[in-house]
This record gives sequence, C-alpha cells and structure tokens, in this order.
Amino acid sequence: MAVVHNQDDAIELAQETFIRAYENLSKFESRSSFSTWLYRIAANLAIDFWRREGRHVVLHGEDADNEISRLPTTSGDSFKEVSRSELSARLKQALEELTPEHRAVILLREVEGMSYDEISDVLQCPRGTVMSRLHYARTHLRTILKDVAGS
Amino acid sequence: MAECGEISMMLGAFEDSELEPNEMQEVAFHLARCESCTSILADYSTLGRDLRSIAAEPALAGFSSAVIARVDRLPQPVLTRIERFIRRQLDSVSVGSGIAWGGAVAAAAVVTIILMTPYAQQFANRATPPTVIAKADANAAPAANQVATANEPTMADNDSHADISRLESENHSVAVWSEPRRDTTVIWLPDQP
Repeated sequence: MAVVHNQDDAIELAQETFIRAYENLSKFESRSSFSTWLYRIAANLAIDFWRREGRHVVLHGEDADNEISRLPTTSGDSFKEVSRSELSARLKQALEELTPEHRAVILLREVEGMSYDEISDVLQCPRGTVMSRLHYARTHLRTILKDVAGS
Repeated sequence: MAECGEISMMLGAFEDSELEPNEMQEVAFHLARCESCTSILADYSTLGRDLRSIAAEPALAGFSSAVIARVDRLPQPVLTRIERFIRRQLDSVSVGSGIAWGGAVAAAAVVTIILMTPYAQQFANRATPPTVIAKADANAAPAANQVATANEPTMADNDSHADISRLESENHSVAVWSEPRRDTTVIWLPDQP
C-alpha cells in the first residue's frame, strides 16, 4: 500500500480500509484470519484505485530520452549501479506499467512478505495464478530496469 | 539437465522457497551449472530488496484519530445510537454526584441488610417487655410444668439482672422471672409433694 506515488493517496487508502472494515465487520465470517480479511479489503481498494487512476506512465520521444539521459551511463550488471533516488523513481514508474493485479501480487510478496497461500487468500485467486503473476511481474520489472541500466 | 526456459519459470518461486522439495533440488542443480539463470536469480533478489527499500512507511501521526473521526461521521444504526446516548448520559454525571449517589445506594443496602437479619429482629425484641408465657395459676401449674423444670433456676442465679417476681397467687411455690439479657422468661415449679 505504501507504493503509491502520493503519500496522501496512501494514507487515504489506508483510512478507507479501516472504514470499510468497520462498516462490514458483521460480514467477517472467520473463514480466514482477520489480518487476511483486512489485507483483502486494502488490496481491493488499491487495485480499484490503480484502475481508476489509470496511471500507466509511458514516456515517448524527447521525454523518454530525457529520462534515460538522467540515468547513469556506467555499463555493468543489472541495475545495481543506478543511484538510489533514480532507482526509486524508475521502480515506481516500472510498477505503474504493470497491471493492478500484477502490481498487487509483487507488492504483497516482496513488501508485505506474504506466502503464496496468503496472497491467494487475499486476492481470492488460485495459487497457480499467484505464481504465474509473480513470474510475469518479476520478469517485466527486471526487463524494464535492465533496459534502462543498459541504456 | 533441465532447460533454462523451464527453470526460469521456477526461479521466482525458488527465491521464495515456495517450490516442492524435488523442484527445489532440480533448480539448485541447474543453478550450479548455469550462470545465466544464476544472474536472473540475483536480479530477482535485488529487485525484492529495492522494492522493500522504496516502500517507506507513510507518516501515521494522527492516523487513528482521523479514522475514528470518519467513523463518527458515518450513519449509525439505531441500537448504536441508543447505546451512545446512554453512555453520554452516564458520562455526564459528575464525579462528586456519582460518589453521593454511590454512598446513598450503599447506605440503603446496609440498612436493608440489617433489618433483614436475625440481629435486627433480636434488637427489636429487646425493646418489648418480656413475654409471660405462663400465669401463676394453681390450676395452670401442671401445664406450665411442661415449659420449665426445676433444674433451670441456675440461669437466674447467674444473672444479676434477673427480674424475679412472684405471681399473684396463693401458691407461693410458683415463681416466674424474666431474664432480659437472654430474652427468656422462666417459670419455676418445685416438685409437687
């Protein structure tokens, strides 16, 4: 949830998560843990938010050249040489190029540290879907960041 | 040896330790011999670390109060509104008057308990004159004999406040006295010849 461009948006989403939980507490049936239920609300809100915002930033032409020119030109393995702030900006941008579902999966795994089964519970999708989405998200992010670093 | 394309599908799950044991072994075996897949795995690891590093926790000062304020603005169910009204009424009672109310209730409870106990009844009985349970009537003497026997005058001997009185009867062998401390009236009849 913390990986949204605007911190106000993040806080608004977090507040909305608790409000929804409060309003729907009677619907909680203890089939999953309370934290999983809370994460499910948060994930759904985040996915809806990403869809609504439609922030798929794709740079073209001069903008893309300018963005690339700001990156270190040192050749080397992967994106390890990219400076911290640049990496942060590029990562966030790369995340936004993922679909909301792929973004949710990679963030729940890498940032929240959830297991595949927990992610499956939160997003209410099969474990195999979690694995394939994760594979796609990682491959996509790696490709983007590799290309940038390589440029 | 498995192909890189097949192994690469499992690299992420290998990094997350989410593969079956035999798959873990298979990937590990491949990685020991494949630099390309090892490089991809290292990138996945770096990617995860970088994602965690940019996901800084937002400042949450005042977060709880903001959520509570928003909850308060939500339309409340009737039962919740009633509950809150009662709670507000209880909260509006000041501490001083609360203590006064509590003291009054406690005092009433103590008085009630005292009045309901045998001690209270005994206290009430002491205020009334001793009950005469037999009259010094010559004719009634045999009946009174069932109430007390000649063995009991020792009670009166021990009680300096025993109120001994002879009855208005020609038969002076009959005595009746009361012992207020024991709340007892004793009729003494000597053995008849």
